[in-house]
Amino acid sequence: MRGHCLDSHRRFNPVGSHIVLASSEKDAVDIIFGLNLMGEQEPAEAQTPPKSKSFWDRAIMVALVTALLGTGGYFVKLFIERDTTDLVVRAEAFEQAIPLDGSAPTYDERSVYCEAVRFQLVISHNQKGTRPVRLKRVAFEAKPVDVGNNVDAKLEYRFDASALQGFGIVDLKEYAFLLDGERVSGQYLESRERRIEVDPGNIFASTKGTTAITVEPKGDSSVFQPVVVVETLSAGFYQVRLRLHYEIAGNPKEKATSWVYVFMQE
Amino acid sequence: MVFSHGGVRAGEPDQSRRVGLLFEALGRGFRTPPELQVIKDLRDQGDTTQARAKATELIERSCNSFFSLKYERYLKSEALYLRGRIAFKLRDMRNALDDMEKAASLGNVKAPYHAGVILTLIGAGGERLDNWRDKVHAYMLMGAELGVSDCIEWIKTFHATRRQVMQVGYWFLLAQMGQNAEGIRESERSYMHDLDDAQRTIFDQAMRTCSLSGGAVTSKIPRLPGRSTLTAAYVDLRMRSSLGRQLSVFFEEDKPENKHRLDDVFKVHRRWVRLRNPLADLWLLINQRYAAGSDAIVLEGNQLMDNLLAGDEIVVRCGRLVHHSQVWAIDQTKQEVLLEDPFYEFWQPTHNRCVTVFERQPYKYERYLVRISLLELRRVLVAVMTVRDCVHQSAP
Repeated sequence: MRGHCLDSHRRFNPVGSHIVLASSEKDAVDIIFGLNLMGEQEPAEAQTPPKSKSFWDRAIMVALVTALLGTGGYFVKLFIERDTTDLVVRAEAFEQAIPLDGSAPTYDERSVYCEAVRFQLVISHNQKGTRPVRLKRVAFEAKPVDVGNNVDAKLEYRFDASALQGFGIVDLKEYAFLLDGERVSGQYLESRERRIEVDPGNIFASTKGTTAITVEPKGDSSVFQPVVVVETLSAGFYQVRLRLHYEIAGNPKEKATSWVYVFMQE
Repeated sequence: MVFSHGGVRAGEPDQSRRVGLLFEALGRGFRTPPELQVIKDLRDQGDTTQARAKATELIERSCNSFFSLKYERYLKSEALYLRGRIAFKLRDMRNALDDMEKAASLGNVKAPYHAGVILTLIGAGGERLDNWRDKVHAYMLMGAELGVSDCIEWIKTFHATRRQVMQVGYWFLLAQMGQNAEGIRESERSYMHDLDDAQRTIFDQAMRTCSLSGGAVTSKIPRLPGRSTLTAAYVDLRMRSSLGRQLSVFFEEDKPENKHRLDDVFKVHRRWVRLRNPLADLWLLINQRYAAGSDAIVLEGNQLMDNLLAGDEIVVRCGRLVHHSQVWAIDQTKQEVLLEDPFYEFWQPTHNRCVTVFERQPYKYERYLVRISLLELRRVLVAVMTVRDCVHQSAP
């Protein structure tokens, strides 16, 4: 017997995806035992005549199957499909913000950015769950790099004037952190006329107040990609990164980007 | 017209192709905003009623609907100018004059000449118009000082009738430099061969007395030419034209990547100068702290400052921020520089940590100049693009 729809009075068949309508007990029995446990209907010619059983035997079997499947569904949800919401955090698209003459210096086999580096901070929901993530703090961290007796650390550079680009204040809507020895300041260029001081300890704290953002599992609020610039104001060799503090269902978590080298020569 | 600093993406692998594209973009860079294009199209189709109505609509639009005060004033001044032109064509002189005067009061560069012409027609036609001659002079002077060639001609003639030799000499030279390349070449031939030394001295003096650029300059750098009197007049005209454009230059808001390499910009501007004026050339001077291409003359930082002239375009850098600006005047006594810069925001101490001295000074005709410290400029100066004599120019 094939499943078919008659009207809006449908029952979703827990065994499979067919929508069937039973108009009588006899039909219900025929329907249920005409379908195998995978929810697929056997071809009419392959169907075997149903065995003769009492109605109550069959009803009990249906109830047991339903209960087992329901319980199984619960365990599937608990152990296999549990919510593993988290943030994906990474810094990418690194760019030497002032063009160099020749290649960039390296240290410890990693690129060293000279005086200014620009990158994108990608913050996104991992979409492995449905919980929103409350991003409460994004902190800028910087520490000096001790080259020590590393004689191979040859950090020299020269800027290429002919490759300089730019005209006016065009790089708006980016967070800039300025390193001056041990002092760090932060700013956000909101417009060509307006600049906002931000706290390097938490970029969400500014002269406009303190905010937080919610990263949703889907939609426009599932990804944030602010542009960040780090500039040195005085000679020195630094490692910098960003650390994010967030909460998922009230549980606090942290993640940090990788360290990046920034250098300014004497 | 809006001059757009965008539309061509840097990053093309071939520099000659990049430069070619940027040159074409600069050539067509003056684009008309859609609101004004509608009015022009209606006018060109002969629908003057609708054109006037659209212009009126734009003039009366609320200030909240524009992204900046500067853009609002620019659009409305252009709409007034267009409406005034239509009224003039329809022989509605009073309304035409009214619109042109309002446009000129907003700093529109084309309106002064037309206001002067209409005033002359009305006044000379016998209608009662108080002080119309003084007003005509004021409007023509405004146009001349903003580089409008018709106004320069008028002012030159005005001073000639009053035998004001220096002023005549000055405006005469600017009028010569406003011609096409062929005309400039002919002017140079006449200047060199038809005038004697005494007459050329008068023109030299006129430039020293009346010009913005300061007149002829001898170079202190062996490889770098100086500026002859004629080249200095050309620089003056460029400065005035740049001032004229100040109110109509905007960033294309939808193209934030207004970034072109300095060497590309230099090549394009040099090509432009060479096409326009066979007597002049553009030179690139670069601070020796930077690596420079083969087109540049490399100078030590103090030399760069010591050879800076009015009319030069400077390239500055503060951290990652890079900017171009034009030198209007240098005051060694006050240790100050005045810049002509439509994008003054770069110099704000709020946005630029290298600047503490900054003032936006009102100048003339709704325009402004930027005042900064000579010492602070010295610290951020990267390069200078300077108009000097072409090396093939015949010596006086």
